Parts: sequence; structure tokens; C-alpha cells
Amino acid sequence: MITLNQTSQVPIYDQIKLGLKGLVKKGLLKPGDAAPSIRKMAGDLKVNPNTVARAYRELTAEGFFESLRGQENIISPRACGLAEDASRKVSESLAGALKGALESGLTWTEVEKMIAAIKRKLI
Amino acid sequence: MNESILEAKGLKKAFGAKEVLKGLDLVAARGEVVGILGRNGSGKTTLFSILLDLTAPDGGSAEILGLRPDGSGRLRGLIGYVPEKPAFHGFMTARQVLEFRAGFFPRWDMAKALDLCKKLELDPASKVSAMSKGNLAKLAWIAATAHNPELLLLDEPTSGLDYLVRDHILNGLIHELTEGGKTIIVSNHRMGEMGGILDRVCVLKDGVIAASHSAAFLSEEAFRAAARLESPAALPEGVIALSGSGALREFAVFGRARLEKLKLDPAFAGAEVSPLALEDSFKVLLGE
Amino acid sequence: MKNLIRLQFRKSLLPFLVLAGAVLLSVPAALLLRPDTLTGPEAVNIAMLFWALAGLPLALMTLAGTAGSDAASDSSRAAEQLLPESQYRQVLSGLAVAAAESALLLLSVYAVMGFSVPMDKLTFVTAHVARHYAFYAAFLILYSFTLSYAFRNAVAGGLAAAALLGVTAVPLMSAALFRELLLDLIPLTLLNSLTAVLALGGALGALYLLCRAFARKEAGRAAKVVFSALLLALPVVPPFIGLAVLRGKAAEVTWPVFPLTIQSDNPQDARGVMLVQKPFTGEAFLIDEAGRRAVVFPEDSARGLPNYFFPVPAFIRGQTMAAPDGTVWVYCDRYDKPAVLMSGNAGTGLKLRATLPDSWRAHFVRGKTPGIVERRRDGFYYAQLNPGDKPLKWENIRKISGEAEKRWIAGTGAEALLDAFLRARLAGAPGVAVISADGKTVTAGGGKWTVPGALGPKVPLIGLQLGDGVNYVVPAREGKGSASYLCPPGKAARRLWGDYFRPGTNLWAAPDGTLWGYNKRFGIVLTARKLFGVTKKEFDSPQLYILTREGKSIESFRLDSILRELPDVEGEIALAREENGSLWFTIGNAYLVKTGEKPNGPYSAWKLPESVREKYWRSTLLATRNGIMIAAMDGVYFMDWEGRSKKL
Repeated sequence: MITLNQTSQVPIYDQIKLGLKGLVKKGLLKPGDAAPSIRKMAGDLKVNPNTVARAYRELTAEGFFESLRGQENIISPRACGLAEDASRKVSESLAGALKGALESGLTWTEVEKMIAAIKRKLI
Repeated sequence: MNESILEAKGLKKAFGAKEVLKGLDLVAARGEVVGILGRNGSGKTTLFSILLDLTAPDGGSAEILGLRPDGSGRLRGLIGYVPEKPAFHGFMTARQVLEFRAGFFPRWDMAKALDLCKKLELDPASKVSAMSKGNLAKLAWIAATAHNPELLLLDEPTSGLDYLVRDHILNGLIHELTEGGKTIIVSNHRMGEMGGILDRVCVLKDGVIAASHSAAFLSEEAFRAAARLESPAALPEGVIALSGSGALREFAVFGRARLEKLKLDPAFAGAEVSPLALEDSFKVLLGE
Repeated sequence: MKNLIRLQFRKSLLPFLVLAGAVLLSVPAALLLRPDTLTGPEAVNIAMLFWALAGLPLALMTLAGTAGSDAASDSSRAAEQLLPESQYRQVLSGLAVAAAESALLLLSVYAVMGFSVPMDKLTFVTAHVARHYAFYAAFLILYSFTLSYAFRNAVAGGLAAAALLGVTAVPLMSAALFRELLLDLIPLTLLNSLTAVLALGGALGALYLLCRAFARKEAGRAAKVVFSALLLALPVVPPFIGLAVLRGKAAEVTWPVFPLTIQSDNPQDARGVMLVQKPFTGEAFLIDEAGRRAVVFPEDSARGLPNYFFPVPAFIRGQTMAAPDGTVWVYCDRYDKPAVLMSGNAGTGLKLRATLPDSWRAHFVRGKTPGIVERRRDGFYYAQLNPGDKPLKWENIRKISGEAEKRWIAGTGAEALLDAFLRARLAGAPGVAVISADGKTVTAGGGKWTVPGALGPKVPLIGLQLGDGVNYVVPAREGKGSASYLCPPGKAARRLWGDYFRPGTNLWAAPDGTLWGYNKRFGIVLTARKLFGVTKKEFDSPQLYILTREGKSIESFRLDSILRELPDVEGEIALAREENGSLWFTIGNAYLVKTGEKPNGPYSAWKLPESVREKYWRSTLLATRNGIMIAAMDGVYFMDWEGRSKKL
């Protein structure tokens, strides 16, 4: 379900969070579903359970998870919204940056070249 | 505040003229998963042997779970050890081995042991003399964890095992971690497969711990840089030459700050940067 | 630890069962295969003895050796080292089980033998082994285990252990042999205990060091290995040192050459000399009161290595005689040399007068012309002993009367009788009295006495030198009992004592000429007996009868109170001297006692230097006129009549 990129600069717990959020966005996980247990997630991903625990803690703090009927780590109704929110925020800032680039006289090709260069640097 | 489960200071051991450990320091906190990275013959097994109170160090001290290795063997009752080559009495069955050991460890949990046998698909009635390498590894794992020790020492726990058995062992490891409070020190040749589980990696080289990095650091802040050097330049700290001759060179860079500095260095202008895989970082650390 | 022991039993089960099975099967095998000359139980006993002496040692070496090499093997260590038990205790568990299994085997053999060992059927060596079996077995087990652990090889360890056991046991056995010969020269129990402690403690200590060196790989391995080798070799040292000390002391042991008395016609003129032998060096010499010596047989040094461990004392027999002119004649016979006849003196040395290769026995004859009668293979020979250098002329005496020959060969009928016979044979030498057939007259030399009912007409009586000349004491019948008469020269016979006394049988002359004898009627209890290690203080002290040179008679003299008071009283009682109303007695080889004529009066007792205790109540003292010469454990001593002793 979630794949981790060991070589990525993104910390593993972050990748777990993003992965879960992605699953919700794709509709594979719906509000009310229980997230996989820490043990199962750690075993499947072959990572330290503490890492998974940290991801889950932060997701709970962000409101992505809620506790319901004594069970922990249930996808909350706001999850979709949060996932959407995150994407929308990225989309908005991208749009603003591109608009500014075009307004300053850059062509699309130059912008794409820039994106490629930044991509290399960012990794 | 995590108390330290294990503190080794200045451990020295020589066999005849050959000095294996030359003043080794090692600290492990409660709940930490520490990987010991070292070449064959670098002294990993000797280190474990000293920590297990099986070999007497020539110098230095160690304190583990509040006890010192004093020859009495008490420490071995509190540590779960999986040796590189597990050995049991050939005439015993797996069940007999476990029952035999039960008599020595007061915290032995026989139900857990048999449950693990089922989970790992190990027939309790099979005889040791007829066991395959994989089954011996499983039995060793069960024997090490059945008494719920606070500290696990694993010496090459997955080497030479097929994929499925390896999976079983790693799952077992994660299971133990999930229970909480367990400290694990593991030496592994293929450290990469454990990358996600480790908290810290220590490099055992020349008889000492030459370097100690957190796993997060190695996975997030290790980079590979390819650059064209017009003239031979002195390598800044944290930059290690990987390959290449002539003008085109490749380097490993550890640390985001160092990477930024490198990018600003005129000698390395136009460097192509990509992340460095965990396996490759290990290779670099070992070879350094 | 209990689990470890169970594991070790399981590991060693197969060899143990095989050995136990062999032991048990040997019982029916012995019963079935016995030769007809042995009964069933005897055959089984012999089978068990075979086990005890040959089979069990090998079994112990096997069990302990395999346990030891297994404890050192990599496979065992790998499987067992990880257990939370100290490595030393893990090794000890293997040893404990090997020891327990060995004990079981030993006990089963012992049980089949009926819990008793037939000691009387064993040789000295096997009896010694049987007595110390527990120690030797423990030694073998511990050493086999430890050495197999050190060498990591059961065969090498077992053989090395057996070799060390042999090297330790031989000197111990040898020391025990010395003790058997009644030479208690060193504290053997202490030596045995010390060796046992060093062996058993040393093996465990060596095992501990080897464990630390090999299992824990501690620093200073070489030093630890060397030290454990020393610990293992150490128990060999006390036995050898003990044996060397023992041999040194044994070489100093002196013993008289028997028979002890020195013959002379006139005891008062006898020289104070004693013929002494050193049984363990083969030396024999004549020594006088001043300590001057003349060698008869020199020391025999190189007697070979087997003799180093198992000494054979060289028993030397001989006789001494003081001739009227003052020379001392010596006849001496050592088992491996021809007999010698020598004359001379302690101060001036002895000259060899004749070598007698075929001599069986010899006897000196006193008298104005002293002679020697010798029994050789081909008959009896006589020679006159002339002073000077001329060689002796031997003449073949065709026959001695059958009686005399019987008595002589049997060794009974004391020298006096033989002497009398020979004198009578040699044409009426003076100093021999003959009793008439009707028992009324006693004739001797020129004298004649009337004695009513004299006993012993066929047997001549030897005379006794008193203050007034040669007297004769004649036993006679008196009513239902007996009496003894004194026949002094030139006077009539008079009744002396109311009991039977016969010179040479129960009447003797002390060196100063005092006559003394004991009363036969009350039993010949001349000794104080030791029963079960406790000196029995209720005994019959002999009743002594004494006739001084001046003719004073003391009857029924008892030493009861003295014997009761002195500790460790054992042996024969003899009168040594009488002077001015004081009497000196020797009691066993232990005391010189000076007492007045009143038996319960004050007395002085002096302890004599310790002599070898012999089984047959032989005396090692020779009373002379000036004191007593003593052949003691560490040399020859002289004690004067006031108890002052010095080593010669």
C-alpha cells in the first residue's frame, strides 16, 4: 500500500504520513476505517515501530486520526479535507509562483528547464 | 530521559600478538536499536563475547543492565543472544532444547516459545541433528527471546537464510520492538535490509567504534555528487572520494550543511547531486 | 546446575551403560567359565579383583577422559557456553558426573565382592593399592579429566594421568613398605595426607586456571598454563622427598647382629664391644664403648634402582667371643657374601682369619683354648682359634651326637647347652658338671658334691663364675615340687631356692657375673602386653630370683609397681647389674631401671633411645660392665649406669 523510498531526503515518518494521506485521497481508505496497526505497518514496511508510532501521533495531532469507541487511529471525517487542504495549498503556491514567472517574461520552456534544475537541487 | 542499558568503555582484547579491540567505547540507551557495521574479522564477535561475559577483556570495563561481566554468567541470564552459528545438542528435539533452557532462565515463557514455534513454522518434535540452517536460526531466535530479555544481541541473524526465513526473523524483531522497552544490538552484513529498523549505526573499524550516525541522518542526509575537477583539490571534511579518474569524479557527502558548502565551493561548480543509497553509505563508511 | 548435571548424564550415558553392563555380565561369565579348581564365589571374586586392578582404572580413565575432552571441545562449548552458568561450573558439572558414574561402578564391584576385600590373598603391592583405593581412584578421575581438558584429547589425558599416578604411587608404596618393615621413621600418615590434599586440590585449581585461560581467554594464558602444570606436578614432590628422607634415615638404622650375647669364660673380663649391622646399607662393624669401630663388612652402595624403591634389608648373622687373652673373635655371615672369621679389637681393627664360603652355621667354643665349630654342607668342622697370624687348621669332626645336632639345627637348647656338649666332646673341658645316673652326685673338674634328687643326668651343666670361683646350680626334685642347689668350689652343696632353675634355660649371668632367673611356675610372662593399642596394665610381672657375686640371694623379686607406672612398657626384662644393693634392669628396648632391693621402694627409670621395634621381642641392647650399648634407629648409643647416654 505504501512504498517507502529509503534514499529519499524525506524522513521516513513523513513518508508514512504522506502515504496514508494519499490512500485517503485515492479513496482506498475512508473515514471510519481503522488504520493498520502499528505492528502491522512496521512489519510490512520493515521499519522501527517507534517511527510508525511517531507518524501516527502526529497524524492524531493534526486531526487526521481520531479515537472512536475505544479504538485508536480511525480515519476521521476531516481526513479527506486535510488531504485536500494540503494539496490545495501546494497547488495555490505553485500557481502563484508560475504566474509570477510568466509575468517576469520567462517562457514556458525556460520555466520547465528551471523546474528540472530545481528538482535536481532539491533532491 | 533514557537511561543507558549498556556502557562499554575502553575495551581491549588481544589474542597473542593480534590486537582485536583497541579501546572500544559503546553506549546503548533503553529501547535503542543499534547496528554494528564492520568487516569480517573486525572484532564484532569478540565484542559480543565480552559483553556476554564469555571472554575476559584485557582492559576497559563494561556495565550492562547494572551488572559487570565477572565470570559468573549472571549476565547471560538477562541477555538474549543469537550467535552467528547457532549450536545445540544434536540428540535433542526443538522442544527438548526449549525445555532444557527453561530450567536456566527464571523468566522463561514456555507458551510464548511454543507459540513462536508455530508462527515461525518450526516443528517442536524435529531433531536438532536433522535441522536445516534456517530452522537452527529460528530455534536460536526463539531460545533468545522466550525469556523476554531486556537486551538482545544478534550476531548476523539473517546471514545465509532464505527470503522467507529472513522475513520471519525480521518480523519477530519488529514484534519484540513493539512490545516495548527492548534494546537491540545487531551486527549484520546486509545492514541495508534493516535500515528502517535501526536507530543508530556504529562502524567498528581498527578495533574501535570509528563513527556513529543516526539512521535518519544516513537516509536523509547522504548525497552523491558528481563533479568535474579541473585541478586536484583537497577534499573538505565529510566529503569522500568514490570513484573516477581524470577530471570526472564522484564523491559522497554526509550532511546537508556540508552539501550546501560544497555547492558554493568554486572547485566543485556544476556538481550533479543525487541521494546516496543506504547500502552505499554503509560501504563508504566501512571503507573509509 | 541440576539441569547441567542431567545433561551431562545424558551425554555420557552410552559409555557408562556399556561399562556397567560389562561389570555385571562378568559375574555370570565368571560363574560359567570358571576352571574346576575354583568355586563359584572364588571365581567371581577373582573376576572382581581383575576389575578392581585393571578394568576399573581403565574405565575411570575413559569416563573422566571423555568428559574432560568433551568439556573442551568446540561443539560442546558452543551449545552450552551461552547458558547463564559460569564456565567453570559448567566444566565442573562434567567432572561431577564422571566422578559419580565412576563411584557407581566402584560400588557395584565392591558390592559383588560382598563389601570386603580378601586382603590376606593379596601381595604387598595389591594390598597397598586396595587400602588406598579411594585416593588412587579419585586421583585418576580428577587428573584424567583435567589433563584431557588441557590436551582436548581423552587418550592423551588419560595416559598422562596414569603416568602421574604411577610416579606418585611408587614412592608412597615404597614408604609403606618401610613401615611394614617396622621402620616408623617419618610420619607416613602426614605424608599421605599432604599428597592427597595437594593432588585433589591441585587438580581442581589447575582446572580452574585452565578454564580461565582457554574458555575465558584471559590475558596471561601462558603463565596460567605453566602454573597449572606446576600444580598438577606438585603432588609428586612430597612422596619423593619423603622417600629420600626415609632412605637417608634408614641408612642410619642400626641393629645388633644376632645372637647378641658375647661369649666369654669370665664375663667380668668381657670387652664392652657389640657387633652391629646397618640393615639397609649392608654394613657390619664391631664397636666399643668409646665409639671405636672396626669394619667387618663394608657398606654396599650401588644396589640398583629397584632397590631404591623396594629395599631388601641385608640380614646379617654372626657371633662374638672374647678370648682369655683379650682378642675378640667375630664370625659374621651376610646373605650375599661368604662368611668371615675375624679377630682383633674395635680399637686396633679386625684381621680376616678365614673366609668360609660354604658355611651354614658356626658356634664359638669357650675355654682355655677357644675354638670354633662350623656346620658346612659336608659336615661339621672344628678349628682352634689361635692368636697371631697363622692360618687356622680345620678338622672334620665326624659326628656330633644326634641329640646335639638336632638341638643345634633347631636353634633351641641355648648356647650353654651346646657349649656344654661341645666341651664335653672336646675332652672334658673345665666348667662342665655331670650329674650321676642315680641323681645323687654332681661331678665337675676336680669337685664333687652331693645333691639329693638332682635332675638331668644326661645333660651336662655349665658352670657359673661367682666371686669365689666356678659354681654350679643344679635343679633337683623336692617332694612334689622342685628346688635348686648351689655347689660352690671347695664347699658342700647347699639349697639355694625352692624352685627349678637351670642355667641357660631360666637362669643367666649378667655381665658383671650376677646370677638371675625367673620362676617358671608362674608362667613365662616376661612381657607387658599391648592389647588393642592400650597397654594392659594388669599383667603378671615375673618373679625374679637373684644371686649376687657375693652370694646374697634375693627371692621373688617383682617389678609390678614399676611396670605399671612406666608408659609404653613392652618386651623382655633382664637384670643388667648388681652393685652395693642396687639392681639395674633393662625393660624391653625402652627403659633402664635402677632400683633398690625393696621392689616397692624408690627407683630411677631412664628412657633409652628408640630402637627398631621388631615383631619377635628381640633385644637391641647389650649390657656390658660399664653400661648398656644400644643399637638404635639412628646409630649406636652408650648409656652408663646413671642413665647418661651418648651417641657413639
